[in-house]
Amino acid sequence: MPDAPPAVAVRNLTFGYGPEVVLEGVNLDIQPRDFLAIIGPNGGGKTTLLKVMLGLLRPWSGEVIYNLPSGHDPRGRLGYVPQFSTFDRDFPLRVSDMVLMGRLGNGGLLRPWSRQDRNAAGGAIERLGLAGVARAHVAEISGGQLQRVLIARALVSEPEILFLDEPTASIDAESRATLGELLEDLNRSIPVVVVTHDVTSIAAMVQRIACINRRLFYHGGPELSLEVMEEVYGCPVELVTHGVPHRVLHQH
Amino acid sequence: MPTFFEALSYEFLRNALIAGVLASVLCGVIGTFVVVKKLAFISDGISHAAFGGMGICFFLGIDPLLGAIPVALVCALALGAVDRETIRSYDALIGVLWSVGMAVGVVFVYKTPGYAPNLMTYLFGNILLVSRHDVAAILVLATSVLAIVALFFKGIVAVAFDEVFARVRGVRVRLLMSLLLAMIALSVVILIQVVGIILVVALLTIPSVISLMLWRDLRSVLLGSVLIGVGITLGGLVLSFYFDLPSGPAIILLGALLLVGVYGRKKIPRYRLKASM
Repeated sequence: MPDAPPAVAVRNLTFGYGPEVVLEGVNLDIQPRDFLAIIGPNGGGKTTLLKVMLGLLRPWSGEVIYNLPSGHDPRGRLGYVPQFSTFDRDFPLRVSDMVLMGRLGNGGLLRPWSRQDRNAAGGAIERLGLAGVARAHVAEISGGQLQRVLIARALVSEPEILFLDEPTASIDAESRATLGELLEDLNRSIPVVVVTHDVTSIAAMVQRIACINRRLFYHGGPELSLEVMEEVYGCPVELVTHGVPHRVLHQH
Repeated sequence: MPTFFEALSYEFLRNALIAGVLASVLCGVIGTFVVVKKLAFISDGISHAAFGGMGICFFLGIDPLLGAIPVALVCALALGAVDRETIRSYDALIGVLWSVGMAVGVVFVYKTPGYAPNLMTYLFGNILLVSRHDVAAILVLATSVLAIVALFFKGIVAVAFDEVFARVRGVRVRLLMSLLLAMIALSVVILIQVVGIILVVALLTIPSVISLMLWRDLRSVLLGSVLIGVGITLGGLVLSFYFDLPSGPAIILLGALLLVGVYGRKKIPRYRLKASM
């Protein structure tokens, strides 16, 4: 879609922690129907880039411009599936209550959850095959189930773009299949951005890849050249080899 | 010696009971957030800092509550607003606030002309000294805190559970966090009247810790900690009546006993099971 303006335009973005520069001069467009995989070595800044796009970190310079169907203000319009570590699993909360929290920002903060909120949560729980554990507590479910809960929570907000941080990191085969179908389905209506070091698990859907290692080294189709990969990782990389932490499919 | 129920004809004991029950209800709700959000040290810091405000009020000869409330609120909001990266050691900051508050309080009490109030009463509380005026103040404060928490419940839970996600969803996390800290500050001031500065953190955390061991659903945990709080407060009062014990410590020790008991009950059967396998 060359004519439509990008859903997200990252412009000349620089960010760092303390004196250390983590991202430098990053420019990136995400199209309205993109399925983008952000890859790169650990510590290369991929999660940081995601957090800047989510508005969780303020860039040193540059900007992130949103152009979503509802307008330029991304507040409450972004879907986010974090890695596990952002919350305390011992928190006394049922699966259904956690999914319901995805509705934050869809209505007034002072209003109690509405029937509409509960229906949306129920639908997402059903869609992700979580009906059996809806009454269970967050601490009692498996890693794969929790991953699906996180996705359900992101979906109930009816986001206009979905960001996922390492969604396949600790997930079982069944959940992985569900996740694949689901993302493909979602991608029919909204852009999907996945930060991952394991592109193989979602390779069939990926339309574009962004390689981040402080700078944006490559942005384009999923057929990466060895030279680009070596430049990003700073060392020779084997493509499509098992046991290598960063696997990229050459062809699919 | 009259029984506890006969003694209820005395106004001071009735006041103590009402104040105790109100404080316990508040503890159950606010304490649960303190425990799950790991704010116990902050709460303790606020309660000690509040003494600074109380000391100034002694000196001026006005109601110590009038000094404790603003000081507790300012400390809570300051702790919420301070940039953790710049301050380097947030932990130490709370400790400093704690000591400075106490130092200010002691200096002003020392300089108060004439009758110096008994420091022990404020450090360890004496619920039997709660006046009708105090009960009214506690009622107003406790009701306001509970009403505000109920009003912002959805957001407070979201921020307590997952700040990052709440922020992405456009929730005003800093504002809600400050609100929660302010409510903790007001609760602390109320609790000082009941169990004293040093024991506040215990009454705030013991019922919720017990409740969290027993239940895993937020509503059950909240209700459970309210009931446990009321139980140990009333129980502690009865104990202090019959055995002539200071009321605050009696309440806390009864709570601690219950905590150990529930922990043991939860832990021991599991070990037996493991041993038999």
